[in-house]
Amino acid sequence: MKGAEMKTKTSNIAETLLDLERSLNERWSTGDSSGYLECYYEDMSYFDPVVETLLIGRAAVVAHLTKLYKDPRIVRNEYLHPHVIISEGGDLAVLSYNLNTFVRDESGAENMLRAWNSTEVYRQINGQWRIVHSNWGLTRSHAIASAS
Amino acid sequence: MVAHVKHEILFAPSFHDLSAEDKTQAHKIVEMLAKAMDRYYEGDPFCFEEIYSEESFTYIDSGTKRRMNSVNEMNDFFHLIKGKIIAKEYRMEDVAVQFAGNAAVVTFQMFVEAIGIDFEWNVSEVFQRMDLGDWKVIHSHYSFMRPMFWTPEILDTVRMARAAIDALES
Repeated sequence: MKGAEMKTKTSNIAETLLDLERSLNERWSTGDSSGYLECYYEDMSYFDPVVETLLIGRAAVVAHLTKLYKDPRIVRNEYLHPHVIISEGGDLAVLSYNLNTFVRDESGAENMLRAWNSTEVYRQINGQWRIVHSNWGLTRSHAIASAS
Repeated sequence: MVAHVKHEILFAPSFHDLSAEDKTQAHKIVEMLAKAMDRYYEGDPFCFEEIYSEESFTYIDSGTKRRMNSVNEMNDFFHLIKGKIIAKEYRMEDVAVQFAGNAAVVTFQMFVEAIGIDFEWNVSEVFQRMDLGDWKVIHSHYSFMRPMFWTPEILDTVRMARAAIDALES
């Protein structure tokens, strides 16, 4: 593939994945976890700040999240510093970004709930982009705050 | 004289399900990573540059202020920590490798004591196979393991380490 063609393809994939990730996360934020769960691929691997060990396989991840998940009532998300790296084959892409989530308190004021470092590894399988690896880690300031 | 770092690598059960060819490549990748990690904890962080992709590379961890988007940015950081992060040993647990064409996703949990802290990391390393068949890292993500379960003592130590690293960076 020529340089310009590759650049266009890369840009299109990046845009597709950013839109997909945003849509999955917006659903998650308002009480619908099924978007992520359906996008997870069978042999995926997964980390978040709660798991004790690496989770391998969609079934293990779904069980973990089903147990944990309740509507987070997030009113706003900030998607910061998105960056997409695409493998030379074009069928695997690494999306990394920072996600800040906000909820409203009883007085109606907006407060930050979490600040995340996120890595989502997507793979195109049978024409669909599926998540094959997730690493959700708290940012440096939020890790300290959460532990306090 | 620099003491050699000891390491232990424990593979996830899924590792044993890989095909013979994938297993060969997976061993090659993990050994390369461990070799870089050994030298890193002997005080030579620049060794990682040998396994990072020059073309596309990003790095984020729970201790850095922001994601680094190139090997050059990592080089600046490595200059700051050169010779300062030393460990006697580390352990990589649950090492799993997923292949997707010419890419590989390596995940594991890392346990290491350095600068007075027991670090516990959830680690993701994404590799790309290059034209000559060698593997290069295109993305690294190190997350603190279970930070909300830290004890006050661990938290104090982490705060001290963060201050020490901030001092290095200022």
